[in-house]
Amino acid sequence: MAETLLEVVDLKKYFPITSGLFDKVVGYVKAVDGVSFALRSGECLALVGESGSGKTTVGRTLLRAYQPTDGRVSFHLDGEAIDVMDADEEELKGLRRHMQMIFQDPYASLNPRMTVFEIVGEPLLVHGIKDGAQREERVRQLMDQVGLNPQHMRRYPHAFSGGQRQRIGIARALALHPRMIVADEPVSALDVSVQAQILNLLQNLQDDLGLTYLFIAHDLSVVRHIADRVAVMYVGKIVEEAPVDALFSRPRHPYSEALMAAAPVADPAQRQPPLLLQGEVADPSNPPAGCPFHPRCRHATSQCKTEVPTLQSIETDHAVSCHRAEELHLSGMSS
Amino acid sequence: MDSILTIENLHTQFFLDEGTVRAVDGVNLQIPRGKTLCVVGESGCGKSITAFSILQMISRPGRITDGSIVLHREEGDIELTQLPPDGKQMRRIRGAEVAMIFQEPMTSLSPVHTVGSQIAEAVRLHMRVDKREARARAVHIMERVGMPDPEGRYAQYPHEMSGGLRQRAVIAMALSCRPQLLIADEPTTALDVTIQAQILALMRELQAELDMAILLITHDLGVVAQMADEVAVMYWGRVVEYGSVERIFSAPQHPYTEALLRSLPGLHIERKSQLQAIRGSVPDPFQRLDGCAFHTRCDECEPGLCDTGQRPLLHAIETGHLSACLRRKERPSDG
Repeated sequence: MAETLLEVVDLKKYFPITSGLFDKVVGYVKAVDGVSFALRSGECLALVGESGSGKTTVGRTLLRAYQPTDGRVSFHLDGEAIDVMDADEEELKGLRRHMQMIFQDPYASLNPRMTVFEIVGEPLLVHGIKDGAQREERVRQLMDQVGLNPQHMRRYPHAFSGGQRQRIGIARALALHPRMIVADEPVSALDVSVQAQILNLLQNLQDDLGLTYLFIAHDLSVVRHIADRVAVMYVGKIVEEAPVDALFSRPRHPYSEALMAAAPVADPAQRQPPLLLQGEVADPSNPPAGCPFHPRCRHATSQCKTEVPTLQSIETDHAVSCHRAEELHLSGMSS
Repeated sequence: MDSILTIENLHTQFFLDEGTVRAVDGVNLQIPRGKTLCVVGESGCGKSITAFSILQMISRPGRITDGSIVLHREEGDIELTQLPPDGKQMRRIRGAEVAMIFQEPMTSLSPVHTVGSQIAEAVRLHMRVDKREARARAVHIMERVGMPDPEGRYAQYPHEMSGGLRQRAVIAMALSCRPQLLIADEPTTALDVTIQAQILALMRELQAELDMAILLITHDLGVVAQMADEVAVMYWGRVVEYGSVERIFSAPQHPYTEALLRSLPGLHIERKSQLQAIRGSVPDPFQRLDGCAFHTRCDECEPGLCDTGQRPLLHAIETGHLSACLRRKERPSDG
């Protein structure tokens, strides 16, 4: 088994809810509420779930874009474990060489007043590559690597299509030879034909550069294609974690099953059964007692309404947080 | 075919300083009564502008420059492009006979009025009922579209509701006058898959109940497969293929449709394999192209045939299945 690159233990991120003139804290949105997982070197782990499940907050918190409320994140580099949560500014700058991010919206994530050379070259400058010619050479190389014409490096983002802008974002993330990339819905704003181009690029880069991905997404067909393992999140917690094949052929959590059943299959011969998930995602500032999924779960019993389930390993590499995981026979995506 | 609406040779253009954008460039389309026609295509192909043109909601610098849009009513046909866009007749048709819902529910909802009062207002606008009756009808419709606690929700403002509930409210408003045609422009794109499945199921149910035609605009081929009776594939301002959903998915007759279907990750594609992306991107909207607009990206392009002359028109491949590809010929009927 590949070595662990990143280890997340009991990560929590609570956002305060304030009210009144003096911003009195009246409650907390528990966006991430005790998430643990390990990212192995060279793999692609997908985080899936509905909006409000906390998947984006996990990605941002472990890069310290948000200050975590609690928990431990260690990044393993050359046999040494670096504590990400306690890192000071200087250490953080060093860490971010190795941990980069790609965003969903290629229109909002690029500064419209900077040229591609400035955007892609900025991390190089920040990390001490002051020599202009050297930077230009690296930007040229990066643009080539992501399938952009290096001759266009003096152009501004508006001159590029959505897919090309996403390539610019990827080039910027690659500038400092990172080990790991958090990709937050990198293809969901793109048309299908362009989506395929970007997915191919991400896979090729992973193969060529040995990158490790934390791939945050909601589209299960994309996840099935690109990921090695999947963690399904619901209201701030991981409810199931499994290798892709195991999860898609036999999910063990009713929420995983429901997500798969709801995904529209691009085949008119396979129309959705009327079985649908009722209701909406629970409010993370006021989650239901017991299993947070129980109000929507068709398998819920009285135990589910009162006792909080914990993530338990049921097979090698397969963990699930459901009281009835052993007895239920759930269906995955048919092939 | 019994149609509710017939579009012939529609041209809608936008006159910008940089040049003229031919957003809709000769669309021919018939919307079958009581059925669902899906219009599919990449961003910028003109699918939304076609919908806006039907309701004459094109504002400057855009204008319908040619073509006709005929609504077939019991009282007789009416040519919509001949009506003043802000006239009484057009306003009556919008909402009462042809209703529209958008991707972003807040496009249709006022943030400063309660959701219930907005639905009641829609009822009052098109039906001769008093306030009390309108309120009762609004509550009834809210219940019908699956809004829990409709009496309580009546007095809520849009910001107090989730995206899924808002979209239900918009559907309630759109259907309050029992329109014969519902135009839905990416109605579920902003929603989670589980909520999307609920909204799509609701649209199907209401369609059966009201015997209403749906023009569903989407870029998601999964949604098309789940919802459509008929499919129109658009590229660069024109319909390039039209057929039943079964034929479009099992035996597409335009290289663009084939390429779109091939580019999807799915159960039939080996995991982690290279996806078959469509090369290049949609041509610049200011550009003028000779011949078939897809020839720049098409693997089957035949120089001298596909890249010269006028844009090819739709022709029948078999009954009810049309293609605009010059290299696809009519097939002898083999049942």
